[in-house]
Amino acid sequence: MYPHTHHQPDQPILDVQHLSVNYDGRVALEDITFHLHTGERVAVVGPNGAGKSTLFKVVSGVLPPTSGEVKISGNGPRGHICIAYVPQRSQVDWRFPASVADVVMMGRIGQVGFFRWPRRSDWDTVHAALEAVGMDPMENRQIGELSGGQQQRTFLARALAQEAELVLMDEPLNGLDTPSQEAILALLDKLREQKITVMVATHDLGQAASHFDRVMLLNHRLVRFGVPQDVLTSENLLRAYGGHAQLIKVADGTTALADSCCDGEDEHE
Amino acid sequence: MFRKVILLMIMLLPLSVSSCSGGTPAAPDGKLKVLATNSIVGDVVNLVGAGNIDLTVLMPVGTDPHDYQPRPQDAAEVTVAQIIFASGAGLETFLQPLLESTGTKATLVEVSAGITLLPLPGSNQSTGDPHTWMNPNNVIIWAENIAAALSAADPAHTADYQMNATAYTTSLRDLDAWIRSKVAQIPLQNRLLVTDHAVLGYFAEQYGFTQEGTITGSFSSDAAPSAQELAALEDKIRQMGVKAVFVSEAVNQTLADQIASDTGIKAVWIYHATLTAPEGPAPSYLDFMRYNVNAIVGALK
Amino acid sequence: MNNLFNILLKPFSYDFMLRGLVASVIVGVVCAVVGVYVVLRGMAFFGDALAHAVLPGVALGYLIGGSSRDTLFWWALGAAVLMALAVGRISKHAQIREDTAIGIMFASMFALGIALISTVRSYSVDLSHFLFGNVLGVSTRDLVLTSVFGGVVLVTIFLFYKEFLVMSFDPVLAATLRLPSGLLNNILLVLMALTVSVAMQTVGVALMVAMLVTPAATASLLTRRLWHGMVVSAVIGAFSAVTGLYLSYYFNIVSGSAIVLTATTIFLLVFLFQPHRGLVWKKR
Repeated sequence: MYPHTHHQPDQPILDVQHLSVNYDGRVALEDITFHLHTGERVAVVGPNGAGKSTLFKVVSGVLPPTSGEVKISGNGPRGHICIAYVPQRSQVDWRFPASVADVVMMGRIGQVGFFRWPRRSDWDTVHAALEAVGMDPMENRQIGELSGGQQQRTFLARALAQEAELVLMDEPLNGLDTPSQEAILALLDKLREQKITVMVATHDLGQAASHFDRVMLLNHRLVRFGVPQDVLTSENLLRAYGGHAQLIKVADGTTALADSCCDGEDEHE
Repeated sequence: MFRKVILLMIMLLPLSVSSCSGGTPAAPDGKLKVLATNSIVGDVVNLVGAGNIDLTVLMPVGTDPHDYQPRPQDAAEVTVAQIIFASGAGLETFLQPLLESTGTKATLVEVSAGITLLPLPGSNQSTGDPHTWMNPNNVIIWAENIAAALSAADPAHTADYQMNATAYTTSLRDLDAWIRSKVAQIPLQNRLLVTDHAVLGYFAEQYGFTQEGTITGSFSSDAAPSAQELAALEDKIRQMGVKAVFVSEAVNQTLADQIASDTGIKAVWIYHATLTAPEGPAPSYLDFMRYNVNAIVGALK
Repeated sequence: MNNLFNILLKPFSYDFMLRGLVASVIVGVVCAVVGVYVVLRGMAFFGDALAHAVLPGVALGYLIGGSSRDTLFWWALGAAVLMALAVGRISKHAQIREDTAIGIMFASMFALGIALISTVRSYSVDLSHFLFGNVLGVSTRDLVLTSVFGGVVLVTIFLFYKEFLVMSFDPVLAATLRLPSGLLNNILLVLMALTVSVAMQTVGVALMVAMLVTPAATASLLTRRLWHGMVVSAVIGAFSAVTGLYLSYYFNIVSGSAIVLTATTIFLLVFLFQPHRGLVWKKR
């Protein structure tokens, strides 16, 4: 059904070359180049409107690039269904009549195929995914009845059920209390065990520094991409955030930065 | 681009569709300008007025007067007319508002004036049955009313109008006699009329029929029957041994067809408030009645 | 007990009632199932517009092909499909918002229909019955058309259930799973057009949107999963159809309205009295 493009073995899982995205006359992303290795855990940080969601949507094949190239394991994104996009919780219709299990199974319909029904093995995968994130006791709850952390874990389970190899999470830690955030971050360890590559958009620079292999600092352009101590310098941060500031502790001392966080970031439809 | 094309098309459509047909005012040659509402009235007016009037008929052949909506051209016709002949008795409900809105100086003559209206069967309507022309004897009164009105407006030709009216009356009496002889072929127990709406009251009363029921349960074509009314009608058809249901241009024929096929009777077409085109079977009132009577007799014999 | 049996069976000793019953149950079920998507995706206005946009098609059909119900059905269907796809297309080039695009198409198609009809001047009641519904005049042939197209709609929804589910819940997921979203969306629009054409004969234009929206809205109050909603909606739709016909028979009301009023009453009862969430309990 969907030609699941064969993954070329020696290619990086994600290779982005000179990617630019314009829409509505605005420049969302400009000349982005980077690549990711399998199993890496990358944080994507930057101010509101920096283009984080846009980047994720182009990588997952939802949006076409204006120029430049995106390659997933050596091929363009269109042929793959192994890329999972975990949406911001504010973008989800929580009143939709679906249970937790329903949502997780939705991730699998690419594998199920047209005109067929989920088989025993599909349900097994769904249950395994729910178990992995600790949501199996709540599998029959309607999604609107869940807490923020539970909602996030449900979508993560969906990515697992999708058998995704690249998971893009759009601000999953927003609005969660610390224990819930820690729970999500712990789940990312599980993903790493399964060699799943993860990109997480976040506003929390401290977490970016402490829980991620590499950090991408984005503000329409790629300001810096590398290990946290190289990226999260005051010079880079000021370049990216402009007049904003947030308080973080980094290797060379405390730098104060404030950021107008959170709601309604990239409003691309 | 696509969007612009759609918008442009939408704006141009009304222009392309508006028709510009309709009566052009006749050359002023001294003839009385007369407007008749429907083709039946028009036919009788034409026979009485003949060459001395300039006649226009408002509703084209095939139109149902019960829910007729007048158009701007109609307003123009109403304004230039000197006399307007309407069937009256509540048939042309659109007419009064039209007269008022145009403020026309035309004289309105209801040709059914002076006819005792029959009550509508089974209803508590205050209005009577407007289908007076179903009894040719009523049309005699029509002719008299028309002759009187034309004479009042155009005294010079009074003699012509009277003569034409008298001649037509003779034809109508002949028609009446002919109908009686045809109707005599129907056995008494078959003289049961079921129609789509209450059309044949005057015919029934004059020639000894009973209106057993109507599909719409109404004198007007607008109504829709409920299941109870339809069931009651079918019961009656079966109980009384009705042999046919008569339908006309007014009411949707599909309902009548279903009833007919369910009860095993025939659905027969009659004309009710309009004549046909000249090449059709009912181009004049006399033909209209003959066609209908033949249809009725043929179905019920 | 015997008496109750009689009351239930008596109306259906008439063939027209039996045909009307089958037709309105089919229509009730199909509208209710499609209506679940209408309610979920906020397409009630679109559904109403679609029903009205059928008018020029029907008028053209009458002008060209005469007044048989078959002809009118096919022309209505053609107009509905055209309008559905046109709205789908226009709202993609979204410099006009979707409901504005719908409003424009709706009004202009309806006006076009009236203009066409006025050129005929003798259209009258054939078309008005088609537009206001005439469930008691359903012929056996009509029933065949209704069943076939109603069946097509239900089967299609069944076959594409999971794809429509994903498209409605999370279009981004649909894109990452490489679902042919444009095509699927058009299929859904065409299904709506089919439903509208089939349902016109039973309840007519004015009441159509009620049959699309009301049972589905009631079901959304009672269920929490999509396919449960469809089943409950279908049951309510069928029940409304049957009860409406009984009411028409025993209380002498026009059938289309009776069906819609039944559906609405059920909605109100559920809205007021549903366990825990009903308005009645909340006020205490």
